[in-house]
Amino acid sequence: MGGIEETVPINDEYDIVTARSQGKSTAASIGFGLVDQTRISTAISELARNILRYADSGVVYIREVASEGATGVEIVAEDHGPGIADLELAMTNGHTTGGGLGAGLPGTKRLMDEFEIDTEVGRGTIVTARKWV
Amino acid sequence: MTDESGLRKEYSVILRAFLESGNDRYLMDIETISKKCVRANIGPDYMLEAHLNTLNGLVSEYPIEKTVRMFNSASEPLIQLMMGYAVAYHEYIDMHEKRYEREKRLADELNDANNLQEMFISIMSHDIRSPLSGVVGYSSLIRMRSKDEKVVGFADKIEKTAMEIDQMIESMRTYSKVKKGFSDEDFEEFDLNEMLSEIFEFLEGKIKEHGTKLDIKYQTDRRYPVRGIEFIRNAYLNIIDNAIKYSPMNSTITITLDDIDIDSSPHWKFGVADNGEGIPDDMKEAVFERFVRNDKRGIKGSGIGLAITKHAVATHKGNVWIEDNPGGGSIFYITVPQA
Repeated sequence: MGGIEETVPINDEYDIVTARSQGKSTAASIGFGLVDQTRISTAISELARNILRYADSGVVYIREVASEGATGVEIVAEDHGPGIADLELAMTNGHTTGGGLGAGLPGTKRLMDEFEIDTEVGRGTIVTARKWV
Repeated sequence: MTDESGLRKEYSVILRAFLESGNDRYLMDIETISKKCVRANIGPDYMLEAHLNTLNGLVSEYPIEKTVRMFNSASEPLIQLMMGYAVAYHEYIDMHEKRYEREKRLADELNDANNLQEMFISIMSHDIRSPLSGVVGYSSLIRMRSKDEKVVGFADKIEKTAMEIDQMIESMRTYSKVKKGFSDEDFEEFDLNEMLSEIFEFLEGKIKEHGTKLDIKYQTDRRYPVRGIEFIRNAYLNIIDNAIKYSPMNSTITITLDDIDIDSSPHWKFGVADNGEGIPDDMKEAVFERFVRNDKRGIKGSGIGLAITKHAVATHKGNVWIEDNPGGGSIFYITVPQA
């Protein structure tokens, strides 16, 4: 490890722009092409938006990661909001719910190579997503 | 259409703003636009056009060095636009896959429930019928052995009630069979006239008991051929039986059977007009549902008869409906294709 690590607190819309720009430049410096950079910044944008929508505030961590010779980027979106009561529902209901719990999660999952959610009602949600070069 | 041109215009404004400033916040706005486009069912091809038109517009407005610089970063918003589409489409696909799976599961469950219902009815009819024959047997023994008239009267009532239970079970069995459907081989030609006179014969006891007069308005000396199955008898039987049950004592029931054309194919239109209380408009369709009855005290039935009628008639590509009898009461009609 020991690569880039950025922390972006998410409190308003403008922070989303900061986070996605940070993600994009990190992705670029790790060696991702323009399309993957856009995938990563879009994923960050979705996750940060969810933080604002459901938890009011939170943090997005953007890190360079390495594993078995591969390099990649890891995004961790953490909040102390209400958590997701029905994870399966959050992962299935798409945009048509018009802002139901977890809207945007399935789309984000497809943008990245790895995707994990750790959530507990009343304690918050941590989404970890990775993409390898 | 306003949505489409509105979103194209919105994209064009944001694209210009991004190219002029290089500010990433516009990329986020683009992400939002692509989602709106998917929601409004505007394809990416139309937005691609908006993208190119905007760039062409810039060429005529700015000096060449500036447009070259702008064009260098023009792929980024376009990629962002497409990425937004990708996310929204993936969500859409995911959602429909899950919905399809859920619907399939519900269909399976429904099928299981129907099978269970059928099994339940067949077990019930068997298991209730055997003790019922005991009830009928012993009550007739009581009637034979007792000299007390009152006791004999009670025994009669017991027997009659037991027979009613038996009839209810029979109609549930019939319903379950009708619902299951039939194959082509079950169909054969028969004469409606003949079938109706058998039904009148079958109901003779009840007709006498109610003092009902039948006014038969069709030719009873000719054939009215239909291609069908034995079950259709239940359809006619049920509505005639209802007319007797729901009419006042000693009233007249009018029976018609006419030759009519529906969509230029010949049908038999059968009608039963009674002088009962009639059926309110909001119940005229509901009475054909299972367990719905136009409640009237003292009238016995399982509430399943008209549901059988409806299914049996539908099996024959026919129709059944209710109209008000101008003289009071209702007229039930059944149409079936002629053979």
